[in-house]
Amino acid sequence: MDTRRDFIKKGFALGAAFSLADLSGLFNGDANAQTDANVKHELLKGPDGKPYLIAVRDGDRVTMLNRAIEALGGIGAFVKAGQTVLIKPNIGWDRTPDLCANTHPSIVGRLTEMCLAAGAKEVNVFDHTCHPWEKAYANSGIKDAVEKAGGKMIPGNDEKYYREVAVSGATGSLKTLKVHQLVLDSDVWFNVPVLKHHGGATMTCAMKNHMGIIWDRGFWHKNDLHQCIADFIRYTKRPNLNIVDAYAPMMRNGPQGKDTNDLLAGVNSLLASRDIVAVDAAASKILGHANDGIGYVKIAAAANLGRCDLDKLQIERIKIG
Amino acid sequence: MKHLNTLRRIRIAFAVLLIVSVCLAFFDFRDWLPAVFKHTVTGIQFVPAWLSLTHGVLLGTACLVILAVSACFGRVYCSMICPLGILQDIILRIANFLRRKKLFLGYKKPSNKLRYGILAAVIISVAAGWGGFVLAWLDPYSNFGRIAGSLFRPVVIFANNSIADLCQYFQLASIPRTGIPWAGIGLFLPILAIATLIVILAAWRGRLYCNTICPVGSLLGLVSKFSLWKLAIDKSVCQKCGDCLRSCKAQCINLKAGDIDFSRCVACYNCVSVCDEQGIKYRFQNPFKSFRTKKADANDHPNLDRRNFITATATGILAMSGGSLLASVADPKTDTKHDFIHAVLPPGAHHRDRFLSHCTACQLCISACPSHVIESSFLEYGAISGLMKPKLNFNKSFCNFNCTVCGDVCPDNALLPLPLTQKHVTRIGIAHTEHKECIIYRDGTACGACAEHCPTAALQMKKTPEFGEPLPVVDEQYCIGCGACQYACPALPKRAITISGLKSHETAKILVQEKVKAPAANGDFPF
Repeated sequence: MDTRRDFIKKGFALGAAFSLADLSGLFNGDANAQTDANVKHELLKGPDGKPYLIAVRDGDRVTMLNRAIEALGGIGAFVKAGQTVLIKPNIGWDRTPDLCANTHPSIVGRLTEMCLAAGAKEVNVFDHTCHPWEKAYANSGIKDAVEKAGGKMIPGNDEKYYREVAVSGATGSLKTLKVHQLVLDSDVWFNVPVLKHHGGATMTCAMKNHMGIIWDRGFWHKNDLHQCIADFIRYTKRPNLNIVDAYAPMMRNGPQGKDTNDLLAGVNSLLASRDIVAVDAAASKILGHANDGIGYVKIAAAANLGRCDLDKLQIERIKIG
Repeated sequence: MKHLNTLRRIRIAFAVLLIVSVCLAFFDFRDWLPAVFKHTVTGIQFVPAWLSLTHGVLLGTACLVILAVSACFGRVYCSMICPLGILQDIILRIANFLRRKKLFLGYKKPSNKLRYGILAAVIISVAAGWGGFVLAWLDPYSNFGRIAGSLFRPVVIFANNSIADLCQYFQLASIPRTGIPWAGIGLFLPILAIATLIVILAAWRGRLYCNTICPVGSLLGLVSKFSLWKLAIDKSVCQKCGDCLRSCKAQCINLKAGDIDFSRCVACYNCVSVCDEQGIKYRFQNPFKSFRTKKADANDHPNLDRRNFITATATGILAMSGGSLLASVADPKTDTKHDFIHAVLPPGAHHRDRFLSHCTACQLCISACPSHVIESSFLEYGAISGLMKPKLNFNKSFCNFNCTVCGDVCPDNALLPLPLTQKHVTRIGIAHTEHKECIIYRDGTACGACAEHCPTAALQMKKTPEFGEPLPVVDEQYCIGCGACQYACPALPKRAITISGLKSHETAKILVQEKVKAPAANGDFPF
């Protein structure tokens, strides 16, 4: 959760970063809030006064990302000049972009571009991959997209890159664990998963994407996977924004997928929220689950680590075209 | 005085190019070099080329070229192409540098009984189907490969990691670390022992190994005996100054007799370049004539006589029977449908026996495997010929679905190249589940790491009649035995899912599923 100081800082930053786009985004948000308010009372806004969750659909991935960021106040609301930025997509598999096993390179490339345009000192991208990392980086198309945009691909293949941190207040067995140094050292970090079915955790999206920033995944599998995924949110350095690639979600044989028959066509969506639990709850509905239908979402919401009661949140729904 | 004459210059240029290329093929820990490069620089080696020739592989004709060149100009292969030979030259150079003065090797009589004995034993063994064992230990390229892959490569990676750590310390995170793949200590030791032997022999007596133990050296030596052009001393200009003798690492110049034993000459051309009188040159010699002279001079140059041949044959038969005795390690459980073995053969091996008779254990596939799942085996293949040969260790890693590197690099064609579509259905083993060890069954918590890694969807999480929660269930017909499930299984030390290797590789079916349908109530925005 953001502290009050963060909130005030962001408020100032927002003021400083005002642009026409920001303004229009703000008005759009307000208009939506009002229409929603006719049905339900007092929908929860984000900590910066922006909509709690942005859901975009029916555009190409880059357009949807642009609109989502715009609706959240522009990239300047997240990245300040001189800051170091980490983007953590899902690059787990040696798979080409058409199989949607990894976050789409166009989203990662565009986000890199935006951060650098906002004055970021450096933009780094990494994942602790399941397949050989250099193959996954290259064949996912992400290496190309990031380097073209001016970002840097960083390896996550060696334990030396990970440092031990404590997770306080965990109810499960997760007390300390090793987290990649880029997560610890970057000023801002974006969690950019792709939405997929998952043979083990039912669904992989934003919270499950955390398993690519830690060293010992086996420990989570051995010690109640859902509880560990939920407990890790207690770690204080949460992503500044979660952006979900839900363009063609993988509905079965996940998280690796077998062929394009596993992908659901016509979803063409992108979700964004500062609340990692809310974004997962919305994503799970796309896969046809209840908003608390995924074990770790339910545990995390029950522990007040985020919200899964989507009907109480202010959601800005944007349809393109 | 050593002049760089043209022949010597060409020899050195070739040697440097060759050893650098082969070393790069073995050291390439970032997988930057294409498989075809690695396959080519190693596939032109004599023994691998000879093994590939039986498969009608074009590169296999390299062995015929080597034989033809030897029949014309002598053992050019040994100084320009053979990485083990070039390595010995480097060792001798370093040894001479450390001694601060050049070692005077002088002329030594050949150990013909030993070298032709070994050659005969190798030929007999190969003919008897024991080539897979004998060549693995005696092929010079494969010996170099093991030294480069198991001894030098870890040092190179260690150096890389030290630089990577320095970079990280100075905030220049541009060089990634790589895991150091240590060979199992049991197999590390024989490789170290052979390397030590070669270093000692090279530093002490130059090319003694090539002229005593190496069967390729002996074979090409035999051919060189009858080559059309030979290096010979021009007695009319020779001052018997001994410069050539001093420069000869094969110890084959008999200056007293004014004669060069061309069967031991490795065509390094050092003598040619040091001779101030230019008294050593290639000269055309009628091979039939030289054969007759050699016979007349049998005492000084004993040929492959009857006694030698009998000794060699006996040695060969002994080695073979010894091998057969050791080979009888029992195969594991076998069901009606499949023949299981203890180790998992790399894709492209097709059948254990075919693979073991072709592989010379150069271990290029072990170095080239991007997943680092291949390692050398001990007796897991149930045959002495399986020693040091590659097997897949799924506790360490797993075979990448979209990778065909091992078959693409193999210079022996012991692993045949597989097109990717064929690799996708090549079954090298079968996964077996042990639900009692499964975390879902044991602890009642979710896991599914195995299902997560299955590339063919042969493994699905399904509810079983005995247990309420979904457990991993393998549909054998789709399983290719890639080992991803075994690797991912966190139930340690006893994994809940393991792969049994197949003696003979099979073809798996491809699971065909309909296009997924949208879940109910999935409107514009389902929330």
